[in-house]
Amino acid sequence: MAVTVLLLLLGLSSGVYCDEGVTRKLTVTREYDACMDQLNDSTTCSSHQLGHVVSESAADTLHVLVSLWAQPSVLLLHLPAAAPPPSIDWTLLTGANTTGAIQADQVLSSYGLSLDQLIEFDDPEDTADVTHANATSLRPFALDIVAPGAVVSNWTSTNDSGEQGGIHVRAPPLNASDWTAVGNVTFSVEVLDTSRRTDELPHLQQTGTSAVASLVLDKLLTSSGYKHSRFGVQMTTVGNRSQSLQVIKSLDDEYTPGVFKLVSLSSSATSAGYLQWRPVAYTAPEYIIEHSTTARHYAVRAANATAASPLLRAYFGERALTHQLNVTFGLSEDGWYTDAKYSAWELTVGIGAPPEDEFSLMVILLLGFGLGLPTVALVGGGLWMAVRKVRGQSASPASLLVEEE
Amino acid sequence: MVFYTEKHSNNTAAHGAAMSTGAEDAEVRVEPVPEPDEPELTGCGASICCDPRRPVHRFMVLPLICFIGFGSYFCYDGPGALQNDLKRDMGINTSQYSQLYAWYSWPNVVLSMVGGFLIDRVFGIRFGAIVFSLFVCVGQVIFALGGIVDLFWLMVAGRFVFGIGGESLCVAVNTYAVQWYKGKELNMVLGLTLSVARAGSTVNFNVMKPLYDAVSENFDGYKATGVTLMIAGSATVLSLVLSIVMWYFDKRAQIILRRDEGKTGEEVHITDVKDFPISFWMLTTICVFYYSAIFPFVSFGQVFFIRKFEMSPAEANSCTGVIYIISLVASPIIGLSIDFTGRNILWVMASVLMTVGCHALMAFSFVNPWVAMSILGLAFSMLASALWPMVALVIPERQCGTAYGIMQSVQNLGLALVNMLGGTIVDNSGYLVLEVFFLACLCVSLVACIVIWVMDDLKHEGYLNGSRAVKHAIEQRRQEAEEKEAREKSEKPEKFGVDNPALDTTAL
Repeated sequence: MAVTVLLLLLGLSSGVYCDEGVTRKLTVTREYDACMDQLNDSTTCSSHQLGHVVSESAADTLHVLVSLWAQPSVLLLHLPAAAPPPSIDWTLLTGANTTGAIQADQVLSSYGLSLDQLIEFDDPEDTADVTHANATSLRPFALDIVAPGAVVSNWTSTNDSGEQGGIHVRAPPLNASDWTAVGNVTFSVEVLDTSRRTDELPHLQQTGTSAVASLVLDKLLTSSGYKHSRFGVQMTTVGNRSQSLQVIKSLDDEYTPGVFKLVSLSSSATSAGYLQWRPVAYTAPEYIIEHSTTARHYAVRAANATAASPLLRAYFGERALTHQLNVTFGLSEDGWYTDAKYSAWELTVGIGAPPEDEFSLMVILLLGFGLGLPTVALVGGGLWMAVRKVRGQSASPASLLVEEE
Repeated sequence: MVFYTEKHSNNTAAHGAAMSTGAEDAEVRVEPVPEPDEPELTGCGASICCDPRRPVHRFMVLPLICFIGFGSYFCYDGPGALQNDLKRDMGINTSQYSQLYAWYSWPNVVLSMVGGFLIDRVFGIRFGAIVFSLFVCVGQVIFALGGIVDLFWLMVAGRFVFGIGGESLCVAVNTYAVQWYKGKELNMVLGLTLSVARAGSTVNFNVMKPLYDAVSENFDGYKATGVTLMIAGSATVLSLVLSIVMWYFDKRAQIILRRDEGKTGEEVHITDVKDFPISFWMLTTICVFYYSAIFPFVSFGQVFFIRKFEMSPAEANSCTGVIYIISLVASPIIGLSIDFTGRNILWVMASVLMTVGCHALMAFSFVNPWVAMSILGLAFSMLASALWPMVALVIPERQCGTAYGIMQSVQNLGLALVNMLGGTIVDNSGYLVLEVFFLACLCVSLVACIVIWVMDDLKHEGYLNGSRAVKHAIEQRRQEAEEKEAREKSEKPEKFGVDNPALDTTAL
C-alpha cells in the first residue's frame, strides 16, 4: 500500500518536463534562397544545402540546423523567445574554414552532433564487439553526403499526436576512397511540436528543446573480404561542457518493450546539451520487438575541436569541447548485418536535462486498484471477522470446541 | 487430504446351503452354487511382485501409472523452452507464439468435462488411456512436422491435436490411481503423479536448449526446430508404450481380483451445476486467476529474464524451470503439513500473498530472479495442495467428478485467453505492464479468497478453515444430527404402505 501511495505521488508531482503541454510553432525552411541572395551561385548553393527548423514558444526558441553536405550534422541553438535568428555568412560557410560563419546573439545554450564515419568490422567469432577487431578486420568510411545525388526532403506534417517538422536526407552514394557502396544511408532529423514521445518505436521522449536524429543503413554492400560484417557509426559532439556517459537501468519498458536501459551522454549542468538513446537498433523497416538487436556503445573520448564537421565548426570554432563516441549495431547470434541488411537507430539530441523514464498513468492506476482493492477487502474482512468473534456470533474453532465439552 | 472414506466392503462368497431332504415323493436336491473358477496363478505370475492381491505388485505398477503422463508434460512446455529460437526460425512474433499454448487450452475448455465422461461411459479406463496417449503422440509428431516443413499453421494444428489428448490423459492417470489405490495410498500417489508431471516440465527446460544447439550443428533454421521437437516426441512414445503395458496389467488384475471396470466414480450430470455453493465458484475463480499468473508467466519468462536481467538463454530457462523443481519436492511435504494443520483458506491466502510479492519483486526491482522464482515455487506448491482438496469439502462426494471437471475446464479457458492476451501485451506495452496484469489477476483471486473466508464463517461454521480437530468436531456433529433425524423418522409411524410392528400391543 505504501508503494502505491508513493507511486501515485511520484506520478503526480513529476512528469513536468520543460514546456509540457505547450504547443510550439514549427517552421521548416531550406536555406537555399538565403544562400542565393548572398552568393548568387546556384552550383555552390545547391551543393551546400542547409535545413533549418525553427521551434517557437512563448518562452523560448530552438533553432535546429541540419547540414546536407559533408558529414551529416545537427546544430541546436537555444535562444530566448523573439530573439533574432542566427545570421549565416554563406561565403564563410561554403569555404574551407567555416569558423564564424554562423553567429547569433543571446544564445542561452548550444550543442552539436555529427556522424563522422561508418565503421565496418568483420566479426567471425560473433562477439558483436568492435574492440575485438584488429586493423585488417576494421574499415572506417568517412560519411560524406554528396549533395546533388542526395535526395532531400523537408516537411511539416500533422497527425493525431500533433505536428512534426523535419529534414530528411537520403544519400545514396557515399564518397569513400575505395568502396563503392550499393545501398542507402539515410540520415534524418525530426522535431516535434510538443513534449511527447515519438510515434514509432523506440518512442524516445522529446522535450520542447530536442530533436530526433536517426540513421538507417539499408542494403549496404559489405566489403569483399568480410564474411560476417557488422556496422557502426562514429559520432562527434560539440558543446561548452564536458560530458560523460550514463547508463540508467530502467524498470519500465512500456515504451520500448523488452529494453530496460536508457543511455545518456550529458553533463551535470542543466543548460548544456545531451544525447539520449535506447540501446536498441532495428533490423527491418517495421520497428517491432522481433526485429530488434542491440546498439552497443563504447567509451567516450575527448577529441580535437578540428575534428568537428564544417557546420559545427561554423558556430563553435576552435574553442568548444569535443567528444567522440562509437556505437555499433548487433548482438551475438542475430545473424550479423548480412542476414537482414538493415540497421536503423534513433537518438535524441537536445538541450537541457535529459528526460527520465517514469511510469505511465495507466500503470499507476492499475497498481492502485489492483493492490489497493484487495488490501481494503483484507482489512475490511479481517475487521468484520474480529467484530463477530468479539460479539460471540462467530462459529470460531474455539467456541465450537468449548461447546463440545 | 482425505478424499475417500475408508470403508471396505467385504465380499463374502455366497455359498448355497446344501440340504437334501430324503423325502419319498420328490427329491429336491439343493446343491451349492458352483463357484466360478478362480484363476490360477502359475510360475512368474504367482510371485509376490506379480500378484495383484499383494501390495508389492501395486508398488511395481506405481511407476508405470505415474509416468504415463510424463510425455505429455515434457512436450507441453516445448515451445516455452525454445521460445527465442522458435520465434526466430519460424519468423513469428510473441502473439503468434502464444497461440501454441492457446490452442492447447481451447479444446480442453470442453474436453476436460467430457474426458472423464468418455472414460466412464465410452472407452473404459484402459482403452481410454491408450486413445488419449495416441492423440498426444500424433499431435507432437504433427507439431514437429510443421517445424520441419516451415508451416506455422501445421504446428498450431499439431498443438491442437496434442491438447485433445493431453488433459484427458491426466484424468486417465488419476482414474488409474483411484482404481489401484483407493482406500489405501491414494493421496500420496496423487501427489507423486503431480511430482512426476513437474519433473517432466523441468527436464524439458533443462534439456531442450542443449538438444537444439546440438541439432543446429547439422540442421539450420526451422529444420533444426522441427527435428528437435521430433526427438522430444519420443517421450510421448514412452507414454503410449506405458499405457499399453498398463492395459495388460489392469486387465489381468481385473480378471484376478474380479472388480468392476474403472470409473472416475461419478457420472456427469450438467444439471447438478446449478446447485453448487458460492464457495465452489470462488474456488474456481481463485484457481483460474492464480494459475493465469503462473503458467503464462513461465512461457514468457525466458525472454523476460534475458532482456531485463541479462541472463544467458540457458540460465533463463533453468530459472523458469525452478518453480517446477521446487514443487516436485515440496508438494508431498507441504501436502502432509496441510493435512496435519488444516486451515486450508489461510494456506491459500498465504500462497497468493507470497506470489504477489514475488511478481512485484521481479517487476519493480533488479533483485536476482532466482530468489523470486524459488519463493514462487513454494507458493505454487502450497496453493495446489490446499486448494484442490477444498473442492471435496464443499461439494458432496457424488458430484466431485463434475466439480473437478468444471474447474479444469474453466482453468483451461482462462489460460487460453491469458496466453493470447499476454502475447499482445508484451508486443505493445512491454514486460512491466505484463507483470502488472499478472498482479491484477492475483488480486482478484485474493478477493475471492477473502470472500470464501467470510462465507466459511457465515455458512459452513468455519469448517473449511478449521484445524483437524475442528473438522472432526463438525463432522461428528453433522453425523449425530443425521442419526438423530433417522431415529426420529423411524419412531414416527408412517400412515400407509409401511408395517409398524412396534405398535402391536396385543402380544403383551
